[in-house]
Amino acid sequence: MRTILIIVLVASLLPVNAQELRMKKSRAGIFSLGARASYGLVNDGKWQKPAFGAGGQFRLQFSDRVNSEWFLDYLTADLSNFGWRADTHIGWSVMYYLTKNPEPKVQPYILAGHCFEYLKFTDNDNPANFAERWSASVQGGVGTHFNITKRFDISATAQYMVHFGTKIIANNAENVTTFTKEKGSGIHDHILLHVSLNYKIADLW
Amino acid sequence: MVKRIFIAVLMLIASLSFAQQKPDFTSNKPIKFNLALNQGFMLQHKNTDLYISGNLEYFPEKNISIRGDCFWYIDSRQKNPVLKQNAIILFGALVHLPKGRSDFYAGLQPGVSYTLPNNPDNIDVTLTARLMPVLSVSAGYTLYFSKFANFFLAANYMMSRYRGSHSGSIKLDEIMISGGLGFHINTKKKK
Repeated sequence: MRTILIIVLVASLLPVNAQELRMKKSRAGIFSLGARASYGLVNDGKWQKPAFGAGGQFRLQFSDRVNSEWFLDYLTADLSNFGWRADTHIGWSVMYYLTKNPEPKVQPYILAGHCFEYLKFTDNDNPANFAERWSASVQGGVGTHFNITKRFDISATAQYMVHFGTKIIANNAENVTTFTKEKGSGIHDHILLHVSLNYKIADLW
Repeated sequence: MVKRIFIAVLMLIASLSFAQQKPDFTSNKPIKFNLALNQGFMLQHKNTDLYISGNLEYFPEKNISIRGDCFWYIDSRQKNPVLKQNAIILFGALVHLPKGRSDFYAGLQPGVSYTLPNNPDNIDVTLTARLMPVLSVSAGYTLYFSKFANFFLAANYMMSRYRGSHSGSIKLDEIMISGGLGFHINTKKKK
């Protein structure tokens, strides 16, 4: 019975989705859904290797030139050959478009925002040996949409993210891996490169 | 012989795609779904894997589709397989170049895999299944030969890493090839 209800519900939504996006007064209120891939460079030590990740996002536009992006990313990376790290980012960015034209083929923007991170370092040989932390961060960067159609865009973004939280140092000496949490709150950073695919679902207001 | 059949199939596809002048089939905003067997070729290992896959795809515009895929590892053709377990979920968008009943496409789909490799170093360390990010670049061709069925050929380049083995990460990049019968339902009626 529940399956039938779900099928009927999904089927009833399809004609709505199949219509053209009806623009109201301005571009404010446009809601998009997207998926993204990420590449991360971390600057904590030579043992840090580049990270690779995947995630999702939605966008909610506030005006013709201001948009916002709400994202969740999951990235993993090697700690030399003795450990690995997993970063989960959840946050938001505000994007400001640099062109007056609201629908150019190439639409560059600058962005700034805030996010929370859950970070976990794990020993390759002993998963019970790990260190973890939560932190808050700010990020800023540049990006551009490539508007393939009026509703679909591919976007490329480069951003610099600074985390404020306990720093974790990984070390391996004589095949013994240790993770040390530094006292107090430190600053540590990454550069993140994203490619995302986004589709405008609706104009909400 | 195989080469001749392959060329004949290609010529048939080409003739079908140029023979008609009807509007592009994807203008009907179809919802597509299929189940297929995939032959995987690992790029960093001499290993060929077999997957079963399924996908669901919707065309909000004739040139754009949104698609979710899932892959389930069945087995390897080698005696010492690299993988013990692998399940992949992808979600992304594809750009299409439809012409009548023919449709060439390419796209990008990020996702996650739940992966457990066999122990590559033959040492006394137990590996565990882990959630890992995946990126897939896909390309393919669809021939909509009837109102409800289509023939497809697809190739995916799947990029992934298993982190946390004794010697560091294990590269699991794989090219997957599949083809067969797919199904679709048009959500927009022809005028």
